[in-house]
Amino acid sequence: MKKIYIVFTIFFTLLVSVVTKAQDPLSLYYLENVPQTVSINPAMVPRANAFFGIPGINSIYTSVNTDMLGSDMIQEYNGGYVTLTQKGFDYQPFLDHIGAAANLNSYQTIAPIVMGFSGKKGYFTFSWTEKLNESVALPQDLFKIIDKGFPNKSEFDFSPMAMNGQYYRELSFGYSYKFMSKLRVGIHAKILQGLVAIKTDIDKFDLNTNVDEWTLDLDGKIYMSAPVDVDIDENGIPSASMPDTDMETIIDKGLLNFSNPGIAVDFGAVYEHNEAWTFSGSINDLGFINWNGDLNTFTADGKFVFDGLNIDASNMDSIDNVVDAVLDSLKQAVKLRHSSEGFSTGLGPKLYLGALYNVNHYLSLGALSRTVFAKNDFKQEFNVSANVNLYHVLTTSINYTLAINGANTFGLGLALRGGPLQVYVAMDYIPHSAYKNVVISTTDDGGEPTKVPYVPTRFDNFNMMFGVNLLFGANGYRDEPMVDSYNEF
Amino acid sequence: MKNIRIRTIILLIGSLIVLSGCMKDEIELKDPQKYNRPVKVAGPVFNAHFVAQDLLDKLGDNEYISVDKDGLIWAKADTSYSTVYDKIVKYDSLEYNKKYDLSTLIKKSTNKAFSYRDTITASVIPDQRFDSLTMQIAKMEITIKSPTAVTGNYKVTFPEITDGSGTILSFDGILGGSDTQSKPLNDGMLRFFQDPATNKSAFEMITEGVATINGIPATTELEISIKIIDFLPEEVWGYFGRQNTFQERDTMDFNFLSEYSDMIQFKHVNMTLQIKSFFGSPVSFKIDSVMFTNTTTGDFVHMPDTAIHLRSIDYYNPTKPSVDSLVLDIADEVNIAPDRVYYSVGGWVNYYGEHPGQQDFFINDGKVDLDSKITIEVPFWFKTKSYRRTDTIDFNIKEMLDSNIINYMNLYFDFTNGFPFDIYSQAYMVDSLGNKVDSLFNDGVKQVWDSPIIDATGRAGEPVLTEVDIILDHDKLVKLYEQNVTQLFIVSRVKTGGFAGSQETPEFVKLFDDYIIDISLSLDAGAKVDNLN
Repeated sequence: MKKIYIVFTIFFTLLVSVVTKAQDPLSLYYLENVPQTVSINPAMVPRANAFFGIPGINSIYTSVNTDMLGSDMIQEYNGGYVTLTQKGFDYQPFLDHIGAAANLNSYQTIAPIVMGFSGKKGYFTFSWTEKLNESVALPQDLFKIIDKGFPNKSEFDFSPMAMNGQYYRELSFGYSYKFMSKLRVGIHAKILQGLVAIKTDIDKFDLNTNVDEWTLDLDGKIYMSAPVDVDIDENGIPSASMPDTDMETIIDKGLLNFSNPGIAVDFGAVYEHNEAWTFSGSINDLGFINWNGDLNTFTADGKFVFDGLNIDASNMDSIDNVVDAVLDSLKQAVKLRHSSEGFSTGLGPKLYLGALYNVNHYLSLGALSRTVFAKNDFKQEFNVSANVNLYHVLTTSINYTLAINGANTFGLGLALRGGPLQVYVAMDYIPHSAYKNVVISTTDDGGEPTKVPYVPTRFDNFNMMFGVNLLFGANGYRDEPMVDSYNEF
Repeated sequence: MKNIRIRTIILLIGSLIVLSGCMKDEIELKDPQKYNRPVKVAGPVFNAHFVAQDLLDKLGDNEYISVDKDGLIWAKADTSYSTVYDKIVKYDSLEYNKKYDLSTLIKKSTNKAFSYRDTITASVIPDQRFDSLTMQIAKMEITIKSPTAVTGNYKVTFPEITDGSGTILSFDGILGGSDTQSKPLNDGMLRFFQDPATNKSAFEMITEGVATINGIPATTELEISIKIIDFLPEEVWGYFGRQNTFQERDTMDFNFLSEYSDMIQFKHVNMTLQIKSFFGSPVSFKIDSVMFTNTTTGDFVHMPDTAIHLRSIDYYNPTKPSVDSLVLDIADEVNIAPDRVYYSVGGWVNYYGEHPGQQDFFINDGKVDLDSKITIEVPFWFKTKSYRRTDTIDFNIKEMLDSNIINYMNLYFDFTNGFPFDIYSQAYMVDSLGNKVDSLFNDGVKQVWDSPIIDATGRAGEPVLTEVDIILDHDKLVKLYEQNVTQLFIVSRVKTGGFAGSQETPEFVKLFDDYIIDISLSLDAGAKVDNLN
């Protein structure tokens, strides 16, 4: 009993406030007989002699991660309720919560091929995965505009603005090897094939508003590797548009696009200290992609002073022309230019550290830490779980995650097996606090109010993976006895 | 013990979930789609820059506006008339046919001589006289038809026509059948004589020969046809007569001036008659029955008839036209701000008839036009104390502000006036029925945009900046909103002279094209949350 208290004390002590980025579901980590755990820790091996993911539906993953909805979006005010656009809404909790920028990230993966098998000394795995990541950062000062407008003598810093995204193909070759009697190590060697990417690098994006003039000071770059048509006007100002696409282009720029190579590795280890305690760790996605094809770099570095729309006899009859002239002046002033610069993107390395306490042969308690490293930053999550492993049929994990400056809510993992067929689902950050029966009324049209039965009070993250696998020899694996044969301790 | 431990763990996890999650009571969100936060906006709105000519172009049709070399702006309207020499010098038909009955002359004789003389008229216009004609290109074609029963020969002679070598033009041939001949007349000449019978210019054709009629033919007619073909004259000499080459009753609209009605007095109003001639005759351009009218007021003024008379061009310098113009300053006479002119205009050749020894000529060198033009010009050199202009601008405050009213709005105008007149203005906010609700500037106080200092020549100096702050507070905005202001009625009045306290300020000022007006607007506004609906 005392041990359990110590375990929880350790983890609760580590729990501070929140924010995480969506990655592979933490709920997946201790679903021991789901082969996709290998993608988190390459030292792990599924409890099957071999597995084969049903093509296309073996690991469908989607994730949304934002801190924009992490504070109360509906607030009480004067006995009623208000939201962002309304008088009385207090922006400070929202601004405190998002920090310098509000982030909205989404991740989608789909794996055409996932397979693995036990070799003589180790376990081999291979996967082909299509990965799409997008992230948008909206600077805090953007929301100050909604809050306060553009008052006289105001300064706005939009430099945290960012828009990054990449779509790449990952071919992963994995090998897990029992290095010593208690230690298993694993590695994934990944060949990456970049397809499309966008990356922003904004050093300065200041706006000062005064009654006499507005000043915009901009210094930043947008890197793109994408088939974009760029026109350069007589002043050297570029404009971009999407080209017409046909099947040939899709094949050339998709399947057969090898101009953006990358590599990455994952390392993992599992240490079975004794029958009760198992410790594990991995560091994943140490790698990068070099983007060299279809390069389009847009650079802006300059200051634009707006002292009003300039109207004269030539344009006074067309406000469109007046506005266009301002935009042209803006482009000139900030020296908007086009070039083709290669760039590289990282994958965002992740460090997993876990401890598992086997209460008995079907129940275990897990603790897991995940650290996601980003440029000059990191995100930290902690997860505790209770895992029930009825290996022949059912594996489940009920867990709770606390993310620093992020969500604190529970997750669920579930895998069911019938014969060789296995169906699983794992999800984190299930919204658990909500307004019920939200009535949205409008005074203008006099129509019937809209009733929404369930509106989460907050929403930071949500991720989910599900899939269908075929497991072969799923009653154990060659070099270790099946769990069913464990003696209860 | 183990069961207790498991139960404890499950209890802890359950408590954690329950404590961290809850369902709140039913709530109501009213109008979440409406944005009603009390935001503020401060910033520049526009900088309008206009030069004088821009504004005048907007006031009237810019075809009336011109700028002289000094930059002075003029309003100008003109109309042109022209004629070509073909309408002055007209030849009769260049073909001639004649039949002679040989039987009456010859009867049954053999080798009997015959002779005929014919006068061929060349001029058409009654008092037009041709003395000579040189031909750059021409060809005389002659056809003689006689019955086959007639034998003999003929000779046709044109004593007044010589070919390029100076030889008198004649044709010889055999009678009996049809005989066609032609001879070139390039560089040839035709010397006319004045036919006393018709008093027209003419030349003679002499037909003579010897003929024998064999048997009894069905016809004994001798038929002669002549025609001058490929005719391109080089010079014509003579007297071309007193001709009215054109005569039109016309009007000239001058809408631009009507904009100013009778509120502006111009220093000058010029009416210019111009004529340019390549004619080898005296020409005249005559304007009469001139009446200036103001179609708004119905006022009209008659002007005396006027004409310009030009001498012929110099024969030895034919590429230099004969030109003349007449400028009439009619500012004093035409002080009714006319917007339409009625007049009758005519072009004349030899208006005063023939002088002794006069020789008109026409040289076919491509410049054979007579151009004339009437121009009315008004330099913007004017004075006014009462020029008044009104403009209406849509200003539907309810549409602009929707249901959220602005709490306050401070408008900051910078008005830089480079024009040589003070501008007094007021903007009235009116409802849809035209009822005044309020005024932009303080009631009863017209905003004055001061003029620059004017120098002795009437030119304005450095533009003058006037700053005006307009404070629209909440009460005023509510009033405009509640009383459904839909339009801004802007009244402006312009006053020249007498400003800046300068004794040297001229009575009249000039409007140069480089005068400017700059208007800058910036605002500081705050939204009020209260919904006035």
